[in-house]
Amino acid sequence: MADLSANPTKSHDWLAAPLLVLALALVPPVSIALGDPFLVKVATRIVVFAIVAVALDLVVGFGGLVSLCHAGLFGIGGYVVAILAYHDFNAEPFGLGALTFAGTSNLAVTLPLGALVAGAIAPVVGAISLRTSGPYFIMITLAFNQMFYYAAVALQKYGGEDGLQIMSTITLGPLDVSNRYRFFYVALAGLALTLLVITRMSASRFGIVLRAAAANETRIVAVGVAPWLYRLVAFTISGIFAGMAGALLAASQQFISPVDMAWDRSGDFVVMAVLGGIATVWGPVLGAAAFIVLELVLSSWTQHWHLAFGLMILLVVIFLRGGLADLRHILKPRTAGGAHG
Amino acid sequence: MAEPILQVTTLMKRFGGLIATNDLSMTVERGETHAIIGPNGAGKTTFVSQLQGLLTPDSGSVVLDGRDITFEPAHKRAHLGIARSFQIASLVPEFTVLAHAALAVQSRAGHSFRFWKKAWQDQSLLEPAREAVAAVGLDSRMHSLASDLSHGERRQLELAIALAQRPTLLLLDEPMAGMGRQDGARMTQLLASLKRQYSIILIEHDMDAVFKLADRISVLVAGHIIKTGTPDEIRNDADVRAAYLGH
Repeated sequence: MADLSANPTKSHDWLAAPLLVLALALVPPVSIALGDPFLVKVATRIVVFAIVAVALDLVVGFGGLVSLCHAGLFGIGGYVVAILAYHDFNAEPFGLGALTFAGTSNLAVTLPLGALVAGAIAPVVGAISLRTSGPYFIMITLAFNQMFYYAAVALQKYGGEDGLQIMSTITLGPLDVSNRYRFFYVALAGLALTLLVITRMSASRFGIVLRAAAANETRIVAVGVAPWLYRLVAFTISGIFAGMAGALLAASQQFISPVDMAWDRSGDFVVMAVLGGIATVWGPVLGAAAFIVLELVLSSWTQHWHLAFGLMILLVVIFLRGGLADLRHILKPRTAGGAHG
Repeated sequence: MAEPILQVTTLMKRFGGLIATNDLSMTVERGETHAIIGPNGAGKTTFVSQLQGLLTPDSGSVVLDGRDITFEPAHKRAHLGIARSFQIASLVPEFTVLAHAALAVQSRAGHSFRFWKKAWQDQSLLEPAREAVAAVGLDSRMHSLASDLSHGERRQLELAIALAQRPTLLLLDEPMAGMGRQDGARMTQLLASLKRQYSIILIEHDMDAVFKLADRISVLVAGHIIKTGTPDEIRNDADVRAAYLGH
């Protein structure tokens, strides 16, 4: 078997993603055993943020493009769920131009819809941002994030700056998922799907082109590939998953607000991805978990927790160049010749 | 005589006040190895870049196999049959040798919007890629990362990528640059074995290799071709000796 890149397909790395999902699946029983429902609440947040971090990895890690608008796309997915739930609760049809729809609190409808709306907006952002590269790309995506943020603030009907509470009961088809434990598994299924799709994509022809273009654009153009469209498709797919995660967030906290899509959250997503390890698809899951747990623990100790947090990120960046995912090499000494750059 | 594979007519390229390519015309016949020699700064790499499409000429035309490609972008030209091996190896450090060749095969096969199947299990990519790697004698390094290759091996890989594109015109920009005597000799031998299978433009400073490989030689000085001829004609030309070989 021939692996096409440093991604050590020969090793047991493919086990990492299923193991992480399995470990997360054990949280609800543990939480029940300990009688501590807060654990599941934290784990749900980890899972939701991990979806965005993994999706962002496709753009940042494999595409070499630092996007700072994923919180915006995330928020858009959230608002789709909350707005349709609002119209459902108030039994007021939702008008879009000449068309009107009934509101709904059914995630079987709103979850894919949130993903699709984000996925429809992402290529517009991408098509404009991808005309630039490097720092300019970062700045333009940041500008887009701010636009989405202020657009949400301007939604007076839907709470404006205060955000929008979901008053109805969220369901998934016939299933009531307002139950915290049940909802957790819905979110976890979303993460498993994200990991599966992004993992397959990263090893496909598409992924190979994306990675080669990030490392050496001249080379890929010379063999006959114009990378622009590949990057745009990657950005769009990433946006779809970000929208799905936002939809899950809104449903899990029964609330969405502009704060959920502020630009610094976009920065948090990048930190989660890099902290976890952008050379792997599953690393960002570790990054999201570490980020949220550290934020929780440190902020309970001191209000100056950002300082300690920053230092820890610095240490990881210095000593674990491949992020937390590199811990696997420390836990299990790498085999000779299996090294990667 | 059959139509030439490449016809370059009165090509001009200026960078500000510098004329890098000056009224350059030349042809490459099918199956010919056409060497371009000239002193440093003569505009050899600039010329190759205009053939590959990384640079657009200010005026003049480039016709490949009867088709005007003067304004075609580089990625289109690759599909039309132009492959370039770079003077400074242009590789993806974290990709294996085989992956580089597979990338070229993949591009030749059409678009790469295939999201699910694992590329490294795709024999339709790997078979031709292995052939190209074997053709340059890198078989033993098939699964090594580009970042682990020696300088000479990188040059070989550059060539393997170009071959994997199944080109009609091969642009070789100093394939022996920086190689030791032994590696250089091996590369010369390799190129000699590829001759006739491809139409080749060869830019090279190693005169032994040039005189051994080339069917015709053009001498480029200050962006202009001052003389084209067989190796013997070039060797014995007074102007050429004055402009270049004498130095």
